[in-house]
Amino acid sequence: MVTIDTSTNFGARIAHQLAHEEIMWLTTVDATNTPQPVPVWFLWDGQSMLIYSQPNKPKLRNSARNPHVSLHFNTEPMGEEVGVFIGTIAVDPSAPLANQSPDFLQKYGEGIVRIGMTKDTYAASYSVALRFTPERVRGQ
Amino acid sequence: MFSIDTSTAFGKRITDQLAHEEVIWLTTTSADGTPYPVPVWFLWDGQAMLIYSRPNKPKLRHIESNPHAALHFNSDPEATKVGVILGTAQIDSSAPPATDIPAYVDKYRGPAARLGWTPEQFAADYPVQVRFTPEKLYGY
Repeated sequence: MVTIDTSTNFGARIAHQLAHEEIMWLTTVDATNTPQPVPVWFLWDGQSMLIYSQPNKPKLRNSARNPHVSLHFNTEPMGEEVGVFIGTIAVDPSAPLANQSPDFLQKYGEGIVRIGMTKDTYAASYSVALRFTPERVRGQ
Repeated sequence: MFSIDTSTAFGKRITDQLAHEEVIWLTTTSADGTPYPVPVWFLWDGQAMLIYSRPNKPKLRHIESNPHAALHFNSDPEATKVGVILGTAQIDSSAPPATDIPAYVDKYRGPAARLGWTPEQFAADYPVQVRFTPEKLYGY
């Protein structure tokens, strides 16, 4: 469980990024111990991030074997504004499908249209819900 | 042998990013298999990325026990431009300091000055050279 201290500049910026950034980089580790970073959409609910995946993706195989993962934001071009979360990830069978999640649709409704999908085709394609639980956050 | 197909728009963009991006994310893994992403400065010499580090940093410990690592550029906010390079990282204890590599000095003289360093001060603070050898590129 991570508490973000929004009384600091860093904490206030991270809270803003959690609400407004469209993508984060999810890094899982494969069977050869090679890290595999991929950009993902995410929904922060105050305690965890919900991430939808297509089935049979490397991140699912990797995280089933090794649940330790990281999530980080892009930085500014000169490397300022670093925010990295370390934690664990697991499939969440209790999560709603993407088209049943008002918060997810509020955040990504436009993004779904931009990638040429509807909320229903997105939910059918990205049918696996992953839940990332952060343990710590670092950055500057 | 790693090569970039510059006849494609993707390959051209990656080549441009290798030459011009100031920061790239280096991800190593800790002993328990947790990925550890950090933004770093880098110089692409056509065969490897040269990265200088302060001594005794986690990434150096990680590389010594597991050389498999990943590099990726920051994406654009909507992640339409993604570039990830998997490979191996090694500490090169016989490598020259950053000040002995003219291309490195040319690339980072300005950024170092912005942070209040001369090239000589940077080379003294970041004496450890990590050489990342790419094996596989993915992205779009």
